[in-house]
Amino acid sequence: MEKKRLRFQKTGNIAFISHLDLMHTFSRAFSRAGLALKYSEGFNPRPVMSSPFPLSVGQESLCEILDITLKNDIPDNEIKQMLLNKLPEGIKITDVYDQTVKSSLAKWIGVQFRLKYKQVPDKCENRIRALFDREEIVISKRTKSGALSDTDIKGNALFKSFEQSEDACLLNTYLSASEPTVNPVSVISAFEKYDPELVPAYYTITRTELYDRDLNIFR
Amino acid sequence: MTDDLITVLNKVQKPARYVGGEYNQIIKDKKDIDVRVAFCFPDTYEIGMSNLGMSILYKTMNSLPFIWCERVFAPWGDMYREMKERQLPLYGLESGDPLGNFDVIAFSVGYEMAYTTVLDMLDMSGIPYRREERNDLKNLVVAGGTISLNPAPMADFIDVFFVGEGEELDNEFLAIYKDAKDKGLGKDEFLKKASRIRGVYVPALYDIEYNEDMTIKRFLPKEDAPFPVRKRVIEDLDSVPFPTDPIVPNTEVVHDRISLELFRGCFRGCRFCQAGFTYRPIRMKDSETLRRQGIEAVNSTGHNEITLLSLSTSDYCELENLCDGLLKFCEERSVGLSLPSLRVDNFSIDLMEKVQKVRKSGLTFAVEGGSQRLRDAINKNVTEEEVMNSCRIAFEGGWNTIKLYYMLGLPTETDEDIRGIAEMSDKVQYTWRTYTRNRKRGLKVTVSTSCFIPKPHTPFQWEKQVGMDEYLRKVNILRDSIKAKSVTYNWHDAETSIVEGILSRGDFRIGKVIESVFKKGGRLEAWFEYFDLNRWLEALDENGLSLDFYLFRDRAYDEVLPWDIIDVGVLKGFLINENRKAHRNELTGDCGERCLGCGAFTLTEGGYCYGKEKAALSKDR
Repeated sequence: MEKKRLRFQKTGNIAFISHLDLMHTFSRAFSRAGLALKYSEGFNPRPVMSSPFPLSVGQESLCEILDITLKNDIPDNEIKQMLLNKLPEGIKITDVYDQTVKSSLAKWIGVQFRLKYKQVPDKCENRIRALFDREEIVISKRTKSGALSDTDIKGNALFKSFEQSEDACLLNTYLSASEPTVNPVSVISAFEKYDPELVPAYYTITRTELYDRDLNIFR
Repeated sequence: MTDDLITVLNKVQKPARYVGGEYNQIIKDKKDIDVRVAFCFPDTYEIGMSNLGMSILYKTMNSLPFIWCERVFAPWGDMYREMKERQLPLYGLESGDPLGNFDVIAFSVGYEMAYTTVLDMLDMSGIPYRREERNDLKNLVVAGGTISLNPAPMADFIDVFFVGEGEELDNEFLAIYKDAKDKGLGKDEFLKKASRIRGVYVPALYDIEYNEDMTIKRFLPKEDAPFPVRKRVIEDLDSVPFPTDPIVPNTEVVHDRISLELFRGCFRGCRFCQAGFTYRPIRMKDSETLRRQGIEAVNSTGHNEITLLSLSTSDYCELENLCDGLLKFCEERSVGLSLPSLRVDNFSIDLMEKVQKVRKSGLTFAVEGGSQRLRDAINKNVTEEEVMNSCRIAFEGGWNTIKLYYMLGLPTETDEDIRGIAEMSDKVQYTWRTYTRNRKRGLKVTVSTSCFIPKPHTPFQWEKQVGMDEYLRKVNILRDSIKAKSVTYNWHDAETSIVEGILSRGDFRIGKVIESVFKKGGRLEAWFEYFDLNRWLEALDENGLSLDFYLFRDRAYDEVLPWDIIDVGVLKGFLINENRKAHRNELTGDCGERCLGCGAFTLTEGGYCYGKEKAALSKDR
């Protein structure tokens, strides 16, 4: 089968390159690796390649997927081997396999927030849980036209776990990947609105896993 | 990366410019390194990463095992403000370490409008920008590129200028720097040693005596420093390393492609052109070397375009050979080949049809002057007939977009010459009507003018520059005389030309002006968003200097010029002769036909210049 799914990580400084730039980066990496992709037809042929859940600039991920269509059938581990040392620092292919299910069947993304406080708020975990347990979690989002609009993320943002480590608090959540897409930054916006003390001095966001609608790991 | 930096990067536009980590970047273990170099480009990442010189010298310097050379670019306004607010110093992209930790801070400066950014980048790093305030060997500030053709304006800030090509010079310099660091030499002692390397100019080693009118009386070298400082060139371009594994940016830059340099120097000798006189002698690169390097570079980067660089592509001695050699590879790999600055004739149209698979882009002609008399005066060896002939070939070949470039304010120019530009564009339209294969598609002619700026080391270095009012008067004459419907006229504003003019031919007193402009907030001034003429005019005024002195006076042939300290290899007598010929409207012609004896061949050990050899051959025939 020529339709392959690549699983990869995007961590470290390269988190700051945009989705579009990442696609260009992959296309050049495939060329360096001598891996020929099928091209689309039409006036402006482009390699057939898609990463269905664009990651926001600045966020890291351990569970990205990239769907590609190859010109020729090449064994999975050979593809992995060919791409070894052909990608910039911070992009790592973890798995290559056939596309057997549509990527649109992925529903949830496991998102970890690494929250750094000058001083950790009192009863931090309980307050975060309480926030996710509210009847509604309405946040204001700026639309493409620039106007503010209210969205309720209740039911599309779920609490998973919380732990306090030495230098940061780790909050794990499940956020809806599509229809609707919940941007992780919404969670910080919710802190701001309902319990401002929970807003950390610094934070980073990492995608940890991709799940289907029943919270089984998606492949 | 610190939490502060992460926060900042999440706020600014295009943070990919500030994090490094690209494919082919060079990471070394600090333990093994004796000398750390911060290679700074005083403009944005997108511009700097498109610069071939930067790419070559990054690899050259890193080829020394005791050196780690990292890249540094100037942050855009939003990033600049955030960094200032949080007091984050400028850092090397590879290690993330602040510039203060580096031994040598090396600037590649290709145009005058970047001068204030040099001060800014040092200031952002907490390094004093005035050289007298830096007393240690550490944080030594060096600069190379066109900045060294007239180092006077920046001589207050730069410890060492590299004059000419850096492939050998840079590493010779770094070797003695390492030695000095090992031995614990002081800065002064080291500078004396460095000045012994050919191509190194150390401003601290010269006093300057002025005449009453504030022109320079003479240079007084101290400590046996050389006078003048002679430009370095590479004798054999095939023998120096060329990076076939350049860094592949993770984000879009201006030129996302492989650049192959065909040759250095130029046969043409256009009297206004600084590159034409300062890149001499002419040295060709072998087509087989180029073919091999092009293929290697595509394989190691994954780029899908190769561009051939030189001052005049058509003059490359093995152009057909090279294109044939690359074409097969390019076709197999769907790699585009682009040939800028190509003269248009039957041969080149054939070539373009072969190599350019993409849509037919516009054709550009640098005509420069609107009449034959003026083109003769500037030694632009192009006739109207040739331009029309090229247009005919292009129109027959299906092109319908033509760009014509001219300069206004050239020495000897009259209003009649300016009207000649309009007449010429009328003729282009007529030619199109006669020869096009498809009239329905219409014709688009774009005429662009810029303001001529006299440059050091050219035959026009003694001439005056026109002022803004005069330039606009000329623009209006041209605008009023263009009647043809298909012609669009664009003109560059003269404001930046005024500043570029002052900096190009500035003297040692201009450093104070650059400093004042920087203090008033001047940085990234090559960008119109950040340019402000008033700052410059105020700064000149505050320092008691006038535009008249720098721009609006004729200099005498025997005046000591601030850039006389630099010898680019072309004899002053040759330039004077060329200047006289300009005023007699006399062409000199191409030096591939007859060696004109400019003197540049003496720069190489073997006295080699391709032009000289070619001329000798054609004479024998």
